Formats: sequence, C-alpha cells, structure tokens
Amino acid sequence: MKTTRNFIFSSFLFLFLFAFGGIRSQIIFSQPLSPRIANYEITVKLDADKKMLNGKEILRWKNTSSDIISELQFHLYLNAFKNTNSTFIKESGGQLRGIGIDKYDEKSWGWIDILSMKRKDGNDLTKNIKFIQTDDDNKDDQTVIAVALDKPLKPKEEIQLEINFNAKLPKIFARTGYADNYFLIGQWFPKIGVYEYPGIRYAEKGGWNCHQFHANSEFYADFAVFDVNITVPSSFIVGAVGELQSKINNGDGTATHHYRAEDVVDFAWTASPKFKIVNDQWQNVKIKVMLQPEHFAQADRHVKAVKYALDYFDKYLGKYPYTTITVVDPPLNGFGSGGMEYPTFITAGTLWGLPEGIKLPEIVTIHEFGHNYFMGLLASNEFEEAFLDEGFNQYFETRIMNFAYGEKVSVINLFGFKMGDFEFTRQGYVGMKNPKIAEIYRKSWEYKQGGYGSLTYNKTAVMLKTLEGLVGIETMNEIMKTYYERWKFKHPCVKDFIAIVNEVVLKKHGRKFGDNMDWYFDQVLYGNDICDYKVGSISNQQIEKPNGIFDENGKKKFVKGQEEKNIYKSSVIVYRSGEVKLPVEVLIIFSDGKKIVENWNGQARTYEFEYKGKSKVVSAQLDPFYKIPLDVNVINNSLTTEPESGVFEKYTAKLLFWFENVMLTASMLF
Amino acid sequence: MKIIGSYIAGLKEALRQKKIVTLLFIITLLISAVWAATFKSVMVTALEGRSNLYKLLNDFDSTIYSDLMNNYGDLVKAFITGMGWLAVFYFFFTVFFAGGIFRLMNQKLDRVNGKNFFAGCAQYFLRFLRLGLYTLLTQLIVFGVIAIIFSVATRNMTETSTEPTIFYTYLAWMILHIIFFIFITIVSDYAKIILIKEDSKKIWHALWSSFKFIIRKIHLVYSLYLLIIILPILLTIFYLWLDSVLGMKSMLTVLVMLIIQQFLIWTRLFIKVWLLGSQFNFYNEYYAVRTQPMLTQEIMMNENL
Repeated sequence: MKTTRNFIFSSFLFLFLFAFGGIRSQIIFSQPLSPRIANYEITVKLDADKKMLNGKEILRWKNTSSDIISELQFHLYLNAFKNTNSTFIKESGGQLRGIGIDKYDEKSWGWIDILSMKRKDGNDLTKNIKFIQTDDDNKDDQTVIAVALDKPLKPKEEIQLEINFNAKLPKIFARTGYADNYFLIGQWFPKIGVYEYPGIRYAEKGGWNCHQFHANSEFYADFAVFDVNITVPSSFIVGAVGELQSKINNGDGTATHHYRAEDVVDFAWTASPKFKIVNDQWQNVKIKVMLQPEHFAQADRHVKAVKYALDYFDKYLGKYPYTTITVVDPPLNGFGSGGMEYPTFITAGTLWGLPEGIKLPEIVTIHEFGHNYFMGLLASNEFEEAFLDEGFNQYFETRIMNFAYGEKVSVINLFGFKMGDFEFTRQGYVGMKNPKIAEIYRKSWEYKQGGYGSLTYNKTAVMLKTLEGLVGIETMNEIMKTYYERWKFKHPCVKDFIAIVNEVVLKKHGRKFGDNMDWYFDQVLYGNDICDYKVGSISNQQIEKPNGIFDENGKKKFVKGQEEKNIYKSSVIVYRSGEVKLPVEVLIIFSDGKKIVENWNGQARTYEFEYKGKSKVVSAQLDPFYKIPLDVNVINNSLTTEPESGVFEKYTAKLLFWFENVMLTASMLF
Repeated sequence: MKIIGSYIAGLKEALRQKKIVTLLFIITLLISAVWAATFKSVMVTALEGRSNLYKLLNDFDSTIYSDLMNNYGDLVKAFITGMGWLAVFYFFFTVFFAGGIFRLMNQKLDRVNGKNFFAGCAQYFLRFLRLGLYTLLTQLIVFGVIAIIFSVATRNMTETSTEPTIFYTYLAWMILHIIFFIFITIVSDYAKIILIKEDSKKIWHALWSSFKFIIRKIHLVYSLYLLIIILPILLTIFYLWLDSVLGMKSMLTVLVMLIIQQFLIWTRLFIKVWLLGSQFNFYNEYYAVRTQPMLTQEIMMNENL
C-alpha cells in the first residue's frame, strides 16, 4: 500500500512539475554574464539496464543577427558512435588514446534519434529534418542535422522548439557512454550550432557554424542556460554541470536530480552507484570530487590540484565566475571517459596505488579545469582553431604545474628520474619525427598525416612560452588577462588574440619588436618552419703586428711583425640552422671570468662576434636564459674551448656497467 | 643442514676458482669496454665542447636528455643494437667457460690449472651449447604458454574486477613467470652437472634426470638457489643506494663509482661460480646418500665372497 501511495504521489508530483513549466529553479546570477542565445530545458531519464536515454528538450533560441534565418542546424553527436561509417570512427580508426571500440559487439555502439520536433505553436518540423555533412562528403555521417523552418525567423526573434529524443549510449571509449553501471553522459542532446555573422570571428556574412563530430574536436556552442532534470535509479549518485537545485525521490526506484547552469556552452552529467564524494570549498566555489572507491586515498591530490588551478587562474587570467566545480574520477573500465572537460564539470583519471611522484591525477585535473576558461568562458571554435583552447590551456597547465609542484619535477619525480611539465610538453613537439608536418593554424580534422596533438597542444604551449621569453612574463600576463577580460563570453579567434599581443607589446616595449608581432605568428603559428640556433665555433688568435714591405717617407721598408703578447683576437660564430628568425641573446664568457650578453637579431644565417683583448673567449651560450624553448636543439646552443671532463666518462661508465649486467643476466641461463 | 653444507662448499669452490672468476671478469670487461670506448669516442666527436651537456653530470636534466636523444639518438640506437649482438657473442663465451668451471669442480685438483680448465671448456662446449639452446627454447615456450593461459583467463578482467585485484593478478602472473624461469634455469644447471658426472652426451636424458632430481628435492634445490641469488639482488640495491648518495658528479666520484661497479661485476661472476659449486656439491651429496646402501651391500657381498 505504502509503495502504491508513494508511486501515485511521486507520479503526480512529477507530472505537475513538468506540466507546469518544470521545477522552479533558483537563479544563479542576478545579471546574465553572457548573451544567452540558446536556452535549454531538458528532462531526461536514464534506463541503466538498457543504457538508453529518453529525453524531452525545450529549446529557446534567439536570432541575434540581422539576417532572416530559414534553417536551423543541430549537433547529434551520439551518432558519431553509430557505425564504422561515421566521420568520427573513420578519422579515429575506432580508437582514441589507445582505447578502441569493440566493433563486433552490438553493445559498443550508440546513437541518437529525434522522435519529434515541434514549434511552440504546434507546427511539426520533424519531417523537415535532414542529415547534412558540413565538413566532408561522407554522406553516412549523421552527426549534424538541418531543419528547414516553416516560417523564417526574423532578426531579434526567438524560436521555441520542443524536441523529443531517444538515445542509446555507447560503451565508453571516447569520453562518453557507459562502463558497467558508470555513466558519463556528454554530447548527448540535440545541441544547436552557432549562427555566425559579421563581427563574430571571420564571418563575412551570416551562416551556421555547425561542424560534424571529429576525432579531434567537438566544442563550439553558444552560451546558454541549462535547466535539466535527470532521472536515474535512486541508488545512483549524480554529478553534472552547474548547481544542484533539488533531488526528489520518485518512489518508484528512481530519483530526479534537478540541475541548473547559467552562461555555459554545454551540459554533461555522470551517474554511478559507486562514487565516493568529497566536498571542499575555494572562496565561494564549491568543489565536489566524485571518486572511485579504490581511489579514495587520492582525494586530497584532486582537491589540492583544483585549488591550485582556481588560485592561479584567478591571479593570472581572470575570475572564475561559476559557483561550482565537479571533478569526476572514472573507473578503470571507463578510463576512456577520463581527461574530459565541460563547463564546471571535468573528468580526471588516476590509478590505484599511483605513487605521489607521478602527478597523473594532478596534471589531468589542472588541464581539464583550464578548459573552463579557454573552451568554456572564451569559447573559441575548437574545430577550426583547436590551439586556442588546447594549446593555450596547455601553456597555462605547465605554468600551474611548475608553480605548484616544482619546475623540473612537476610530472615525474621518482627514483631519480625527473621531468617538469613544460619539459614534457616541449618534448611532445621537439621530439616529433617531423616537426614540419603541419602548421598550428589548421582545422582540427585536416591533420591527415598526423601531428594534431603535438602541434595543437605542445607546439602552441611552446610558442606561447617563447613569446613569454621574448616579451617578458609581466607583459605576457597582461596579454593573457586582457585577452580574457575582453573576450570572455564571446567567441574570439586567433586574430583577436594577436591584436591584443600587438597592442600590449607596443604599450610595454614600444617598437623594440617592430611595428607589431605579426612576424612572430607568421613564422610559428601560420608557418611550419623550425627554430634552431647553434654556436658554430670559437677561436682565439694572438694578434700579430703587420708584416711585409711598407712605404715610409718614400722608401720601401721591410717590417717583420711580431705577435703582440697576450693580446687576442677572439671570434664566436653563431649559425641560424633553422628557418625561424627570432632575436636571440648570446652569453660570451672570457678567460678572466668576464661575461657579456650580446643581442643578435637572429636574421642572418651566420653571424660573427669579434673581440680584442687580453682574455680569450672560453665559452659561448646562445639563449642563456632559456627564453626560446622553440629551439629544437638546446645542446648545440653551447660551446666551450675548455671542455669539462666527467660527463662522457659518467655515462660511459654507467652504460658499461649496465651492459655488463645485461650480459651476465643473459648468461645466468647457462 | 645439507644446503648449508653445500652453500659453504660452493663458497670454498668459488674461492678456489677465483683466478678463473677473474679471467671471466677480464673477458667480460674487455668485451664491454671495447663497445663502451667506441661509444664514448663517437659521442665525444659529435658533442665535445657542448657545455649544456654538463648539466647531465650534476643531475638528470630531462630537456638536455630529450634533446640529446632527439638529435643524436640514432648514434645511441646504433650502439644499443651493437650491444645486442655482443650479448649474443657473450652467450657463447659463457657456454664455453661453463665446461671448464665444472671440469675443475669435478676433478678436484689441488691447483686450478689453466690447461685443465680450457680442456674442460673445449670438451663440454658442444654439449653445453645444445643444452643452452634447448633451455632457451624451453624458456620461450613456457613463457608463451603462461602468457596465453593468462591472457585467456583475464580477458574481461578490466571490465569486471577492481584495480587492486587486477594489480595482484598481474603480480601473481609475474611471480609465476619468475618461478618457472628459475625452475628451468635450475634444471639446466643440474643437467650440466649430470652431463659432467656421467660424462654423457645425452642432453635430453640429462635434462630429464635433472628434472626428476629437482622434483624430488624441490624445496632444498630452490632454497639453495634463492640463498645465493639473494646476494646479487642485495648488491644491486646497495649499488643504487650508493649511486644516489655518492652520485657521479665529478671525475673523482666517476672513477670511484667505476671501481665499485667493476667490483660488483666481479662479485656477480664469483656468486655465479659459487652457485654452480653449491649445486655441484648438493648433487654429489645427494648422490652419495642415495648410493651409500648399495655400496654397503656390495661390501657385504664382497666380504661374503
């Protein structure tokens, strides 16, 4: 009886709440922070056994352009996991970061169907839906739809659509889906594209920017308000973008979790009965870490990392405007959902028993948190300019990791092996087999021959670090702060960033670097050349007095010159082995200990520094303060005429010893 | 008590053969040193005077190290390949010398005689080579079989098990590999002893006899092996500790560490001969116990006659 009564009551409550415009939400921000062009009210129910979602979405979308719009475009990203013909699977080869989809298991695949789409006035648009391919001619790709409107949308007019959809979740291999009873639900609802018009990025005329789901990129959306009711089995613990408004036990074995997020570009959520929750706070930001039970001992590592990130971004980029941040720690069988970002909601990743000396959870947490700024608040177009998100974020990640955990040890500090995050990042670029394979500025799906990760993440971070080295950390901080303050809640492109670089550098340094910094970006952002400077040679010669026949008072006179005692003509020849031209400093050290820092504009292929004096040049060091990490070979940046003994002997001895051990171990068999 | 007796007897045997150990050490050092000196010479030619490299003397610097490998890695790789070939070459050396070591043990000459040693090397080389190849083949087959069984048994493990369970399962798998590896190695060692004792050329027969012997006395055989194998493990730990404390940050410490390294190599060889001596003694002791009643019976029969 009690169960029946509960059921009737909860059903009534459920119907009442949804029939009358949804559960009342508490407004988060008294004033909107963003244009709020697209606004969603979604009710979704998870069938945890069938791995299905059943959803209803009410979308209100404003035409902020001066165009008359007759078609809308939406992302249906779960269709990327529908079959092997999707663009995502073709590009990725059915694997992401080493985790692959089991093509022969029906349960592995996922999809989304729109059951109906109606305007507020009841006009049915379902039949007007057609799949389109905006980036390639893969007719089988079903990740983007176009919907012809029955009545065009006038400028400033708002449209309200009611969309019913069903979705089957894939087994996790690329960030979204399920693993047993762990669910990470991202890219799951029909999401409207961005209508760009002159004034937004590169648009010269109005048009939709709604890309297919690619292996390398997935984010570009307008700022929105999300009001989402998630119904899951009542034993499940839920986390989501935004703030939890309420949780209602429906009495039928399910519970509805009501979330609201304002001024964000996307909405994702997670559910699992196994999570262990740790709550903490940084200023007015509530931190929630959702851990796997076997990772509970690492809770503090996650919390500290989030706090470091919040603190650093607040200080060096700008205020984190949201009131929550949720960190999800995926299980081992759902590891493919680790390292993912959504506004106010990120997934990290760690392993049981991971030593403190390996900063995996820290680095992932800090990296994913950073996306809140670059993907979330600045909301650049990840498809077309992925580096503005991934690369800029990587640059900040290295700064935070080095600040928080130590410059040379922030990634690994174990058994004498040490590596800092920036070194790790730089190695990703300079260690490429072919660093010239492509330029950074390229659409994310156009890295056909590879190099996306190394160039978009690593080279971009190194490019920004080199810019920091050239203009100084203070100028760099001002550039980044100005970029954030001016472009948050808009959609900047890289030209907007370069304009700020030019403005701030001119203000801080005058014309020291020329009229602008375009020359820098032309080479390292739009170009694929490499930077390699080298100390070619050092020579020291005693100066001789002139020899030979000289005219003197009308007579020929033979002069036999002699070497001037202890007066040397010294020469240091430096080379530009790469094509990239940057101003570079050269430290010259003399035998009497004197040091000179020379400035070379780095333009010529070779350049010679000459000195005359009583002391010899004993050493030359290009880029002595390590301002140009773009240089792919730092070893040839140095040369000395007085080699120290020890280093070759040390490594020869070590190799000798280990070689002997290898031989003896092999001989143990016999 | 029997294994302690064999342990001590093995030590005495290794001390008796210390010149042979030193000879083996010199050969090992020469082979490695030729390779290492060439390596050093090539690296010096390519990189001498590049003072940024000196950062590697004081500490590990991953930027310098990675740039070294990125730009000069092909040189290093060539030497690593060379190292592989030299290891194969060294395998033949050790097979060759094993015969000499066992012959000296078997004959119990008062003086360790080079002539006898090399005669033993030559006499048993082909037998030990065949034995060595069979052993290697067995190791590979057993490794493969265990790996296949394990991969089938744990196919869906990441889907269904917790991380600690997975970790301990893999640990158990590794330990299983080590146990079998040691077992096959010991079978091979005792097979050599049987070949010597019986002056036989029947490799399979020796392996089978060795296998039966070890199964009968497995607890003692393993105990003896582990008692000795623990020493090089402790020495390696000691070396790593010393390296971290002393470091190799100057030419002097490099030299000191070089001497310590080479002493450790000599010690490893010494321990290997110690192990073989102990095993030889253990087999002899067992053989003596097993055959004693027969001898008594034979004496009694002779007395009756």
